[in-house]
Amino acid sequence: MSTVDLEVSIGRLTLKNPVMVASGTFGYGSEYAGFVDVNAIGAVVTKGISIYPTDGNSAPRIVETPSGMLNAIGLQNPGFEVFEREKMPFLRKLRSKTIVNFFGSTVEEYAELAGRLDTVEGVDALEVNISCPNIKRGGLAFGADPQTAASVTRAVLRRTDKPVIVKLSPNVTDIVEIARAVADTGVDGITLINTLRGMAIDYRSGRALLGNVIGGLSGPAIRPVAVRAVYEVAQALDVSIIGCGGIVEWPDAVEFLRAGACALQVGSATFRKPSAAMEVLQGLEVFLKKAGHAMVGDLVSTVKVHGGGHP
Amino acid sequence: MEAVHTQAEVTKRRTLARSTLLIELRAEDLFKNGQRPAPGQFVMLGPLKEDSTDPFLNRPFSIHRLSGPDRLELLIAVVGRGTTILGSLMPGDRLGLLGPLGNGFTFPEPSRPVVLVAGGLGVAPLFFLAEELCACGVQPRLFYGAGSVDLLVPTDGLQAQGVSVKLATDDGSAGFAGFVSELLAQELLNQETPDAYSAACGPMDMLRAVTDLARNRGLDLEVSLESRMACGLGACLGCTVFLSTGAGRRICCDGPVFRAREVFGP
Repeated sequence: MSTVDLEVSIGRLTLKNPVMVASGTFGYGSEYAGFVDVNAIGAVVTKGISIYPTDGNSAPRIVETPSGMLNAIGLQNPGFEVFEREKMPFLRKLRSKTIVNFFGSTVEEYAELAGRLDTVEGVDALEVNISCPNIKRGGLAFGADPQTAASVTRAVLRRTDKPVIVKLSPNVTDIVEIARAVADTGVDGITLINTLRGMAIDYRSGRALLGNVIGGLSGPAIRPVAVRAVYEVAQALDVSIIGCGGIVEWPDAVEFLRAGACALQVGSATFRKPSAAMEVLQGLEVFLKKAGHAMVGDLVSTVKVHGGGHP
Repeated sequence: MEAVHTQAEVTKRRTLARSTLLIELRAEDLFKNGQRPAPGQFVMLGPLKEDSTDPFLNRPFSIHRLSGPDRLELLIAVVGRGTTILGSLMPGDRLGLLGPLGNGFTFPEPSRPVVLVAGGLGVAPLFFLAEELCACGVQPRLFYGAGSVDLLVPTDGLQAQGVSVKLATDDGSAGFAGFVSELLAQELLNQETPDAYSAACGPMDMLRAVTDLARNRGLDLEVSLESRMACGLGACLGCTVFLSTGAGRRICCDGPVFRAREVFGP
């Protein structure tokens, strides 16, 4: 078997391989350090942070659903200062890149936090969260409208020289329209997708199973929605796409690359198996070698579609 | 000890009470270098099916007993899809295990009297604590309540080791008729136990009632909390509990054992 070049570029950000762990599923990296080789993956995307500490929602915050889970954590985080002081020292030592996911409740808050993160050594890129379904102000409120999404992104870009990625929500009528508005600002990449809004009820008691009533659905249950979103945006736009949503094993990663993603995030699968992302990476490398591909890019946007019903 | 992610082998499976199974697992990695889990710690089991993502999440279980130099026992109430799958495991089957996780009980000095209060499956970690105390020459008292007699896990093994056990059932089919917190109130009424250590595990309403009692009697009480969990490691923040001060704590790694007054107020 030949060697394969796993390095990928997302705008100005270069990763040694295309596999990352998704925001909110890997803490700040150190939580999993005793169980897996965190250094093996391309990047750690941190749990989303805000300028000030955020408490999050009341319990219950998670519920299992068919091939997936709903969460309504509510972006609990210790705030920028504690993050920089207590979480960055571990992340800085990693040979994987560090991408900091962050959010605000106003455009100015997004901009201000981007400015602060710009000065933090060891932060390799920012992922702008305009797609969390679990908070009342901020999050999805900024990601559901093309003009608002673009103005948040522009405000962030003005305050940082680090690469900027924007994570988009599938909870919109036309994801291409939002992606185009964001891509036109000159961002380095787009992450597709955040969770889908969902709800579950205990049929006996009649109680909503989440304290917040509505939460975000993740896991293999949403993979077809995520693959579709990646495909639609890749067909329409020339922007680096990070595919995310229900990747559990390496064939799922290949599916996202074929749809048009150039890099990947493994999310809730890590809860099932701490080594999920590392195993996806290993499986992907073997697949690329066996198929005779020299680089990850050889697979990107290689989906074949059925032609017009003719044999 | 440091938690490990390993494969465990089912070595025993027995029905202990209605819909309640005891599963023994061999997991030598948890006992490496002379280390061993502590009472009050738990493990995550799963994936429940290797070839399917449904059910998706792993499940947390308190360690019920250590039953050998490389073995631990868990109590599993078969109540849903996940526990039905776990309940169908047979000796020889293997499954993923992450643990031991969480902080465990503060082990009291051997000179102190010990009162343990269990509600339903909350008895699981208190068995482990009771056995470790007996091994140190302490003979704890266990107050143990359940809905009815057929839901009670046998306690004769504990009694043989010197634990004094008092039972309560909601329907009066065994022991005291009523809640275990009511039994405890009655028992503590005539006794001064100023320097006792106590630990409780069970439903939140029971823990609240026991905390009220402990407050009035000056008992030093720890409670073990439970929650749905996704990761078990402090990463997902799915199990956060808000203390009486308003501060959020992760049950999986800041707990599951907390000072009762931190949770329910001073």
